[in-house]
Amino acid sequence: MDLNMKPSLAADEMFSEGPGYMEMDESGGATGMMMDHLPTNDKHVHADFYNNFDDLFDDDNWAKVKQTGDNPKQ
Amino acid sequence: MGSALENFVNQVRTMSASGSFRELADDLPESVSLLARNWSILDNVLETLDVQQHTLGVLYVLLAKLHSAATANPEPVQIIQLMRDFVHRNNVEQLRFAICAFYETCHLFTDYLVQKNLSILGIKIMARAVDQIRQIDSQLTPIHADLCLLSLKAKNFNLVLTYLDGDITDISTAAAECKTQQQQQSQHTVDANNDAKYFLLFYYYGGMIYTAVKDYDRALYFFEVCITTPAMAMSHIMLEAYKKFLMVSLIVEGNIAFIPKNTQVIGRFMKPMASHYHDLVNVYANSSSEELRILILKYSEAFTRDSNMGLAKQVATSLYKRNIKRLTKTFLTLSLSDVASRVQLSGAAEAERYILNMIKSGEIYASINQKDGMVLFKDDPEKYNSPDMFLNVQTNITQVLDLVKQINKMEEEIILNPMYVKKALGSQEDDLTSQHPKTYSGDPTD
Repeated sequence: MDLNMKPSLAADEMFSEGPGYMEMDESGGATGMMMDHLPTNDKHVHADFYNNFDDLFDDDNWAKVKQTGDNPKQ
Repeated sequence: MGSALENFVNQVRTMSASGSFRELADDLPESVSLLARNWSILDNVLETLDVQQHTLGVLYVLLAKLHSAATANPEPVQIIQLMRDFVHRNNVEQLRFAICAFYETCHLFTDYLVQKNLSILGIKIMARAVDQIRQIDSQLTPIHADLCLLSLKAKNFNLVLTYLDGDITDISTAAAECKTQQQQQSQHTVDANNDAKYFLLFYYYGGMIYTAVKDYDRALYFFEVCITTPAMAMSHIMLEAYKKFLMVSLIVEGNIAFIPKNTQVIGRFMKPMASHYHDLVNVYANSSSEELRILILKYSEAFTRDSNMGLAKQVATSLYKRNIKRLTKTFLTLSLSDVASRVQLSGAAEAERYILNMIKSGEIYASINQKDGMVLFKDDPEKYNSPDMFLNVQTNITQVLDLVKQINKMEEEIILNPMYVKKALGSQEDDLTSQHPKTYSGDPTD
């Protein structure tokens, strides 16, 4: 055995894999009631929603923001 | 001031003085077009009204001002000051008679600020509006989405995070408010569509905010709520949330996070429209950073168009980190250049930078020997036997117990809801009917 290698780990068998919550086959709840109002004859809706942002996830952009001292992230 | 406007002022003053707010709120929607037509003298109208005493009247003047902003081109400072003054000095009891008009005013005000590139000036105002109108802290209103939009445009998240961090247990919708205010049916339908829109926007914008501050677990939850909202049609908000959901899933879990089965719109509409993102998921699964880099370059135009290029870079970074983390499970020591070649980084210096960042953020436990350029990977030093850890576990247990209490409370509310009881009894009767079709025919008067 390579001295730089770690011994292989035993699998934790206490928890089964996969999500531990129930799947709902039918829609419902408060949000369900709201979306029921969507016009069912339209295949696509909300095409005009506002989504014109700078790339907020680019660290380079945030570095620029920090340099200028405007709009701190946190 | 024209006689029509004088009548408006008299009506507001008289009915407010007599406390006929319900009737006034029912009458005022008819005055919006009159007020908007007379935009040039609305300041004179405002001078005759007091925000505290005549909240409903001032609200409709503000609404008309914002409706006519494109024509009237008012000074932004004046509009902002009016709105600030209104949310700080209005009478909430009166405002509750015209919640739909208040929501609309807030939406128009937000649009106006975004258009004028003055979003930062609206954040506190909209936060105050949310505080005023929500009935409990965990109630979501349509104007939460406005607060998120302004914060995103201003790239300022301090305040909005306090609104996003709490759980939502109740939703205030314009449709429900208009129903109680007995407004017209056509208006009702429009509001209902917008309710769905603002609900989705809150979770989409909220997910974007959490992604920007790198709270990816919470971002994933917000995008998940958005894309799993039951729907018959595909919303473009859901589509954009789905693209980001896939990318944040890779960062958090290394593959696509679990999606409940009741989301037919994802398979039917969204998957085909997000094929680039699915390619990204497939290549990520190969664990080859080089292949992933080539794919991101190939689709860079699409990712840039969606303003997701920065997120794609974060995905690439996460694969490097995931591969380094994988090494820590196999090796005790490795040279920096060995790490670089195994995870396809450019060289030892870049590998060192990654490892240092990962040590700093607690993602791995390791030390670097600068002298011989070797990394020593260590086990997690946490032994789960300290008072701090005990406190941490106790806090988590308390949170879970509180959540259970909340779920039980909500379940009880549903069970006691007459609509639910009627539906539940109805389905039981249907079952009985199908079992004994000849012995029970239902209530003929129903």
